[in-house]
Amino acid sequence: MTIQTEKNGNVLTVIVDGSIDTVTAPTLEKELESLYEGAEEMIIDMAKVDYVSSAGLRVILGADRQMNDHGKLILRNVIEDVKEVFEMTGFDEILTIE
Amino acid sequence: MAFNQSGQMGLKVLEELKEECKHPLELNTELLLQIVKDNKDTEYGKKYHFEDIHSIEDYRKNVPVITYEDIAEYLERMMNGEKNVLIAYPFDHMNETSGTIGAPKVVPMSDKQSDVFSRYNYLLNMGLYEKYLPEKWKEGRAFCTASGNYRKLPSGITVGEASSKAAEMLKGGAEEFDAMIRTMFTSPIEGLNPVPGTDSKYIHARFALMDRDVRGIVTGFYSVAVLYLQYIYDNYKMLIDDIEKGTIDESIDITPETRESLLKKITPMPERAAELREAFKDGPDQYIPRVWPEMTYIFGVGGDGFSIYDKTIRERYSADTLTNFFGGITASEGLWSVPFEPENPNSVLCVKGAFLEFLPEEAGDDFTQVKSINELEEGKIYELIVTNLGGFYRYRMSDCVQVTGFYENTPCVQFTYRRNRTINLAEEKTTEKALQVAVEATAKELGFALADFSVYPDGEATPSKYVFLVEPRSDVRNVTREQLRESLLRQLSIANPVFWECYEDHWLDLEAWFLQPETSLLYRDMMVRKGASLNQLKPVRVIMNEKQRKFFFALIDKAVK
Repeated sequence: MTIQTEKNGNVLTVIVDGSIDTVTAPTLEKELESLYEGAEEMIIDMAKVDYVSSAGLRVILGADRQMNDHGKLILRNVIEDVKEVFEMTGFDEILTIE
Repeated sequence: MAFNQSGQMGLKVLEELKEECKHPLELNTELLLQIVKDNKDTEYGKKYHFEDIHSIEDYRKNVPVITYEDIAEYLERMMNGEKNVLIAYPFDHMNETSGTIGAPKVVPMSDKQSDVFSRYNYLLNMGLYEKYLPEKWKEGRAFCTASGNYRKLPSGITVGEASSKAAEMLKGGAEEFDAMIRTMFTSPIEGLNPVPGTDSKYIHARFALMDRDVRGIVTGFYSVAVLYLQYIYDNYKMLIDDIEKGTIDESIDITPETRESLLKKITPMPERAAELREAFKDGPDQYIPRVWPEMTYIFGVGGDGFSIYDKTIRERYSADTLTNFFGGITASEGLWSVPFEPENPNSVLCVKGAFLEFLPEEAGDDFTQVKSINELEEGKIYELIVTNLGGFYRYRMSDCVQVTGFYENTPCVQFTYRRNRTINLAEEKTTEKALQVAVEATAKELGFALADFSVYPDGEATPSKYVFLVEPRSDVRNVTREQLRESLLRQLSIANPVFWECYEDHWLDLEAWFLQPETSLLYRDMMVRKGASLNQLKPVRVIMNEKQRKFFFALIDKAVK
């Protein structure tokens, strides 16, 4: 999994490439933790995320909770397979998915 | 230290409990007659002629067995401030149940009910520690995981989970009460009675880690203690950094007011941080004895249905250094049984806590077969019907207990299952307990550590089948799904031989999957996010609804073939 960030004013885009699983989730969590401050809107671009495990979902849920304090988290370009997991788990009722 | 006096008072309660247990029927009847006498002039008391009740037989003749729906309207009126409806006792708070299956329910917390909780849920525990632990137990505080939220109604009555009653009282006295509670527990009031949205896990964990002299852990369910211990396991670096600098990490989800209030209670602790870094230098496994070298006990609802979590605590965090005090059967509705010694998952029925009746498992809805406390047989399973001090008369709890022996003359019990959570696809009546025994034996047989499990009773399949979803806590790459299925089939057939008969006759089948690691933690995170209280969340052992089914099936580990 690789992570790239792009900042445009107070909008931060995090581009994730690869699987977010038990092995890679801690890396994503750490990366996101360093980015919350100052970001009013955090977009996680998931176009290249082919799989999200329970550990990955926990990290995304944690990120959403963090951003809720002072801004908003948006998941963008979620592929169908991953979107299905979001729907099945009820994440689509909690998160903003575009 | 605050525990000197309560330890002595607790010893007295423990001795009195022993005496009470010599006369179960006499004392339980006495309690019933007192309840009906005290409440004879209430609307409910008049309706069911409490004034004519002078024996258990009279009571059974006059008063029907009820479910919540039967008294929901009365409770609604009580919430609006109406008096003398179900009880004459004063009350200003209503406990709110978790509503794991249905909508949350409320239970009036009368002063008398509150006294029962104080005596048997607090002082008795102090007595157990005093009697069974080394003297040092009272030389330090406990790491408490309780967090209670409540709301105030226009009538002035507060509504919330049981533990928030105490928190509400403490909050009334602000700083003084906060100081008092912190002589017993490491957590400040901001963690015990958090404003909505507060990350109380951080607060509890942070303040516990600051104190090297913590002596015990006090939790609701052992599964909740695991969540807190895992939180430290996952976040110890951040927590230590904060302790060193006297800060609260920016990522922590708390209101500015709570942050400001907490920061007043925090100073930089570089020495403690250095100790903690040393304790974690080789990783977080079994960190408890290194982080809190004097810690000696853990209290909560463990053992029995929660034994997976006892094992997790022993293996992952504590290195088996803690004495377990397993709480009895307590609910928002009241307190039915209490512990009387450490390391014993059996608890003794509390004859002065509530009037208890017992419907034999095989009686179904035939209430003429209801038994009194002196009529129970060892080994048999009964459904509890309770009369509490909060206006629930002959209330059908749906909780089934097995009589496991006697303490003095009073039956000891273990919680066995909730009536509406038994799997019964082909008259096989598999209890949660049987499922748990089977899964634990399977994990042992196949050599993996168990994190949690859920079972979906699939009545749509032909034949109907149990779908086991097992979450491992260790590597299962060497285990195939077929091995998992075969072992579960064997172990479940031992735990419930009727299942095996149904399987052989092709009435039932069994399917097995592994869940992805952290699935049970994710479920709890999700439920908390949706507003559930962490302290009331129970593990999902039997999947009861479509949302739960979709959730767990979406997180099957398909990599295991």
